[in-house]
Amino acid sequence: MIFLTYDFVWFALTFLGVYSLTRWPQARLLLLIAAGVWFQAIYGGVASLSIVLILSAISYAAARTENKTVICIGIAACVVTLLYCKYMLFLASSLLAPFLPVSTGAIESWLPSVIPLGISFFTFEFVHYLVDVYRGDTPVRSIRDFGSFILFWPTMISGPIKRYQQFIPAMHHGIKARSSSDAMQGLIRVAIGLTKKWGADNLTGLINYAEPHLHQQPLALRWIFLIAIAARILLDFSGYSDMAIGYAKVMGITVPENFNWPYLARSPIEFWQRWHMSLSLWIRDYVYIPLGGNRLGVPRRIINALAAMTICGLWHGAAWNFAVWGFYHGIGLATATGLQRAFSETTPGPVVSFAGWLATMIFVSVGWLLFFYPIDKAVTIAKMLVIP
Amino acid sequence: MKPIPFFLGLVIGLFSLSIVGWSIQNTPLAQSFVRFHTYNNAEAGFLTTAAELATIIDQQPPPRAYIIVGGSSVLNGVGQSRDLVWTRRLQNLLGKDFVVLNFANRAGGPIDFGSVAAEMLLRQHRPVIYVADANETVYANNPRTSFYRHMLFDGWLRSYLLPWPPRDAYLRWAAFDGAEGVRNVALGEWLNSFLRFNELWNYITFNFVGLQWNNMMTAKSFSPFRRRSDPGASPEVSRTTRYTGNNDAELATVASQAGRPIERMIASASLTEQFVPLQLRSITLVVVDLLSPYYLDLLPGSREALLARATEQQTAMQKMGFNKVMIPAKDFTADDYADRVHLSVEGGDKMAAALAPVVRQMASDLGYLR
Repeated sequence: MIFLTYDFVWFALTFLGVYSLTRWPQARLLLLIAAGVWFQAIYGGVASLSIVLILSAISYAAARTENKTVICIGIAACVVTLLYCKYMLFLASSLLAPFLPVSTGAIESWLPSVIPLGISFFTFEFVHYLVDVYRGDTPVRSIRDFGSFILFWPTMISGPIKRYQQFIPAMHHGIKARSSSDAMQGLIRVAIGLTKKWGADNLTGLINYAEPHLHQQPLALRWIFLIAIAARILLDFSGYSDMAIGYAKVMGITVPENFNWPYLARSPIEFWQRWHMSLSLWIRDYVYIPLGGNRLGVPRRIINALAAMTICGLWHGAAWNFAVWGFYHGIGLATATGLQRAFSETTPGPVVSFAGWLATMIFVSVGWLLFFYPIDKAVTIAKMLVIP
Repeated sequence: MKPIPFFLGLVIGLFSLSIVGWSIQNTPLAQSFVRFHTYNNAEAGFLTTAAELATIIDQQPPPRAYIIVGGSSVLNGVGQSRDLVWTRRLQNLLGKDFVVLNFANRAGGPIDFGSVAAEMLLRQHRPVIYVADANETVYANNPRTSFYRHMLFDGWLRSYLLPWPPRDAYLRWAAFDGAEGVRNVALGEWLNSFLRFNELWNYITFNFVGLQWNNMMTAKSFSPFRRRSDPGASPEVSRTTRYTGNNDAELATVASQAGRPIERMIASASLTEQFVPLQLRSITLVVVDLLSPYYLDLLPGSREALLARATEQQTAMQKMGFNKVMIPAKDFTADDYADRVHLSVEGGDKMAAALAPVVRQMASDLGYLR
């Protein structure tokens, strides 16, 4: 909730004021990097900043060598850091604990007490950069450009996950040619994001209050509760993205959109084309396609979708419910792809489209229970939706 | 849309809201104030500002001495109904020469609402006695963790607080404090000192519409605060529900409190030195709270241990320059309590009776009755 603190209000007012008054593009670029360092140090701590800087140095140096072995080592360093900082306790306590001679508490004491701020986002950006260079793209030569890509504070904590090929030209355009119109559009976007967050926080209070009494409520109210959860998750995520996109726009920098009316989707496939788009595209490009994508037959395609979506689920949090949520969506995607192929010859009419939308919304909303609650509680609430 | 009209509108809009905030900051919200409402806290989205305290004080006809009560839920009168709260009894006993204002609050302490109000009166050279409570080891609540730490910053930025160098230094640098909770409050109150959005927010929430859903007020979250009564439990209900909590948990709390080490008192004393100006201490009457004999008697030796520690606290606080330190509950019985720590109506009456002559004597000694 960093964007909703007074701390941040002062940071943003100071930064955007100085940024607006600075006319020299290179000074703006340096200011952008300095603000990113400050943001990471203040909100994440010095340890968090150190990890970002070390991984930045490794990624930058590895890419500059353009040596595939070195780049692979760089990718491994990023993935290992992510696993160590975010997933080691989960892996150790859920998978290794039965075979280890030490307690979970002992394992916990070996691990870092604080997860670096935005680690899921910045490691994915490092991996994207290194993989693209591995595949033949040109590495970034300028340390300042690379620094601005990694330390761009609006997207540091909750995305959107940027692509350097798109971001660096957009950043140069912003620092040279930011207009008052950009600032206006950006502030409007921030206001939209804040309004969504206000809605989400109100719904959070309502959901937390209603959940223990759910079993006493009629079926209709239980479904309204589910709709409230679905609305809360959308407003929360997209509100944060709106604010990030808005702050970037105030600087004149356009970053990718993250949400495109996901609750209008008529199938799980369409849902993932509209929901958290920067993440779903990343999963497609750096997990699903390398696993074989659609190329190796139907069974393999289904396995690839399940694996990619499980990873996508785990990316949201180190707990089993997120993994199951991802797997659930993997099943949905595989089923929807199968249905789409079976009926590819026919154009869906309005009734079929509506049925597709309704089924997708039920599928997605029930899935949010797994996202919001531990598995056993999610299953209990899901049962309450059908059993009076 | 053109940018210049947009930014002009933004600035004018912000400026207008700020003007409204400034202009309504001294508008009385509570009428016939008795004590803080149960929902007067951050969880319910309502935190009284220093200006609102000043307004409540200025609503009273000028007395010979203001008796400002601050501190915790014990002095707020949790366990007593609004009509029978102990500060009303104290007011009756003291008579019209005194105005008793109860600014103690649930989860509050002696350096939030009450102390800010008392210091404001001291700065204005108005006659005031401050009554606050302590437990057997702790007086000052740590502003880093206090539920109502906003009040200290608000009061300081409005120049309501007495000059006190160690505290001033802390408040001046709190915006750079490592603890996010303190930094955030300090920066928020600083921003509010220019824009007065907290006052505007409270005014709207109190008079027109609640602005956020919250667990405390459930389905009526959005109704205005002025429509909410808070009579408190009647004496009959309090009597029937007395000591019906989880006895094991209560006994464990009593045991840990009775066995608290002296180091805790020393740490608390340094906080007192840092945050309580000597001038405030010189007009402060401290009430050291005790726990209910209902539980103490179930734990052999705990009553004596607690009383011994409370007496040590009394001596230590006297040495620190507090005008008077009392342990009025020494002889209270289980019936004088509503639960482990809060007083019943009978207990509240006893406390008021014990405090009234002391307050009158203090007022006389301080020259207020001349």
